[in-house]
Amino acid sequence: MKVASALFSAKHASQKKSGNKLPHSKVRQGLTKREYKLTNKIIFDCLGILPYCILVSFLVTIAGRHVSRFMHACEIRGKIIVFCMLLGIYFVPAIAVGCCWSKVSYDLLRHPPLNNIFYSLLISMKLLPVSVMVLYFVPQTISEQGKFCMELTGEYSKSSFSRILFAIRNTGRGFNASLLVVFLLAFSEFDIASFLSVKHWTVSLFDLNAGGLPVIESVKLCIFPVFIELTLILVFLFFYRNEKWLKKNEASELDLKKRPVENYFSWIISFTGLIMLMMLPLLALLRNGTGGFSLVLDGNWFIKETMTGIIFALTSSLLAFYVSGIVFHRFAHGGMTLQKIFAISTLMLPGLMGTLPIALVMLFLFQMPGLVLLRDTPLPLLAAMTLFQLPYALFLRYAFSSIVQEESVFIAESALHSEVSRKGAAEILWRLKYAVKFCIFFIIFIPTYFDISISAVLSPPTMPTVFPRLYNLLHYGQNEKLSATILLSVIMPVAIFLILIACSRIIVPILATEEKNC
Amino acid sequence: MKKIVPVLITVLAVIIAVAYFAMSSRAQDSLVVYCAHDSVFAADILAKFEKKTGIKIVPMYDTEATKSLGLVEMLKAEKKSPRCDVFWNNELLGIMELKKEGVLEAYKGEGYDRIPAKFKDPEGCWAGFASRLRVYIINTDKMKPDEKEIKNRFAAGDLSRVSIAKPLYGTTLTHYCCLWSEYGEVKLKRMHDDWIARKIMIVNGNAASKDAVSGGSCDFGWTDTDDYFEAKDDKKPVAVLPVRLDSGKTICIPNTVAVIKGTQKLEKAKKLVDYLLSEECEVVLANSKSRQIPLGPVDEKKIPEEVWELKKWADEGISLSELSDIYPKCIQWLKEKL
Repeated sequence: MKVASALFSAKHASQKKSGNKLPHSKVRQGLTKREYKLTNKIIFDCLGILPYCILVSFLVTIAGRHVSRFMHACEIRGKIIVFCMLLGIYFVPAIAVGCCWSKVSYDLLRHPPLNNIFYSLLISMKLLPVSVMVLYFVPQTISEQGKFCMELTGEYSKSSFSRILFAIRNTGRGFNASLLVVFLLAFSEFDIASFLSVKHWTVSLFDLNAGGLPVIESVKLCIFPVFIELTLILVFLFFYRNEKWLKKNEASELDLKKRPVENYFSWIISFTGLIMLMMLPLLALLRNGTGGFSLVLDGNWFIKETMTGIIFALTSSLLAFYVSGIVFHRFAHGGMTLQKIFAISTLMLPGLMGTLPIALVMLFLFQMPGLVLLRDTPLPLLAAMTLFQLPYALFLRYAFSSIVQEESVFIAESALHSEVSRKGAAEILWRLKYAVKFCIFFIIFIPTYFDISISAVLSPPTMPTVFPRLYNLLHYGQNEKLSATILLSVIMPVAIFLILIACSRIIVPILATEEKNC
Repeated sequence: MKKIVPVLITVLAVIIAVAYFAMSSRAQDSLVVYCAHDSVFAADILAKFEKKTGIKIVPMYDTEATKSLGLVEMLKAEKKSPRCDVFWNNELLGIMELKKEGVLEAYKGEGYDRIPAKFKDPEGCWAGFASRLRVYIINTDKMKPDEKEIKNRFAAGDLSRVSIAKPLYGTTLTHYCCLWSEYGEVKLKRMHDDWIARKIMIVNGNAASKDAVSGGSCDFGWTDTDDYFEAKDDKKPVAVLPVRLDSGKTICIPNTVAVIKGTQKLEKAKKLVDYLLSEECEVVLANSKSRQIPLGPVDEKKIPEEVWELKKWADEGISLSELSDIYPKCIQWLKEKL
């Protein structure tokens, strides 16, 4: 802030000295002055929201650790119930959460820190499923026995500082990956922040685009937040570049009878999240009556726009997933060099700016003489969506790497050829190999399907998607048509998800056989 | 998996391509209409036009969430190779900006003729219809719906129970531009700083301002007539008073329509413009849930009584034509301020 204002005063002084003889220099000075002000605003808002995002990432990861440990240790029925509750939380779009809780925030707006805490609480609940998924799949770097041995050597209990260092180093990739993913998602969150009138840099960036801003200026405004995001990702990649991981998640050895707190905590936190982020918002929507369902289903736009949204999000998620796979195999194997890290960061950059700048840049690019012919095609939309997903896909690929247990996979694949063990082998194979990929796919699919900025700016006129329409309906508050549309547009991807899960037993043997034949 | 993913991508890409070509060929002769008015109401009117004329329409609607980059910015960006044929805006400033940029085609048809001069461009680049008023929405459980009471509240110290929408976009921005025009730059800036210091509640939009008042979080606030009627229809304890400037003038903000320069479907575009500016369209909008106030002459019997009451206030509206010079300065200041 101070640096910018010092530069700013220096420029102002030189302007006074020169007497502003050239009219065009006057304009340039004006632009620079405005740019400084706007940049400072974004920096200030970034720094303002940063502590809350850090707090959210720690709270969510600590809670997620307990829940994931519980999920590893509990019996299958409990696991399924908790998994479904978490899934429910993740599948509720921000528009439903925002609509429901914005009214509470009106009373808190007079006390901004309280409003920020309330927002952090909602975001924490919303991101808990992501943290649990990351922690559930990513193994620890040190086993429980290893920790015990460290304690016996006395190193671990020397001082609180060495304990912290030990914890940072050895709680493993899972914990730090969860910290980072949750932080990135909270730091780039826009919808709920906007509904709750929170001073978030994403909201400010949106506001600063009011009345138009040159694309280059919009991109410049993202430099500071992207710098923060990229630095953290690079530190993570660099820190864990040569780590060897346990092939087995030792958390399954947790005895729930000895740790009742873990047990109760997991149920309470999942249930609270479900009530706050799914049940209350959905009840608020249903309160408007069910008459809207016939209204929505009568018009042919709903099915068309929802299917368009789903197909675009599916295609771009698969593209991001595929590209991240290629990049990961080319770059991550054989250790990370500086060139590789640079290449990965370049690929991640556009996505880290958030959906609005990507949409604006794409719009700008597809207005250029050579590309304007492609402007009204689905290409700009698909490209923007894929770029947005790429950093998350890449990062999750890396975080989840080496958790596949090659020996077990080999045995399961061999068992697929036997008629007797085929069914069981397919299930084992699903859990060992494909569930992780499926999880990465859905983590990136959902935010893209729910996205508004990219779809609103880049959808071809003949192929609109459903979420911009939802926000259009929002103008008149929560009417029955809006409620019905939100509910139905959420049910569709949930149905797809459940069908895919159900089909996994059929798909997995095909995938495995096909892969073996390759 | 290595082969399945590319196969799936190819299958989905083919589905998208087929759908795109099918829809594009069907929409080849259609008018592309950028529409900032809410789809709930606009869709019916556009459907009626399609039925009446046989001209197909491909609408692109604006959203609450993209209002900052909105359709006006899209039209500016697409100036060299426009894809839009007709722009139906729900306010005035944006369309004035587009005229300045040279994006609009002049057209004075039969619809244009029936609109009062105050609400249309003398050169015919745009014309207004079906308007909204800037109003105070008052929670009647919290205070008396009285202009004097509102003045007293503004004169008192604390404004934390008064809500306004973020004035960076939409009708609140027009409202600020009117204040700039009425009081001048210095006084408005001082007034705004004073309101902020006295903790006026700035919310996300006019619908949020209405929710804050009707829910009891605030006692009164600024909003538009359509939002007020939404609260009233929900049986909330609300009353309405027009926002009046010191000159006694109200702020009446019309929908606007314009043909985009460079359109390949000029004749069809003109037909739509005439239809939107017609009495039939204004009557439909006056009878919709948003109760838009007709600007041209209409049969009184066809208009709900409550809208007719508003028409008297609308007739006292300030002229908005001078705001086009104020708009860029005002928005620049607000962007730095908020």
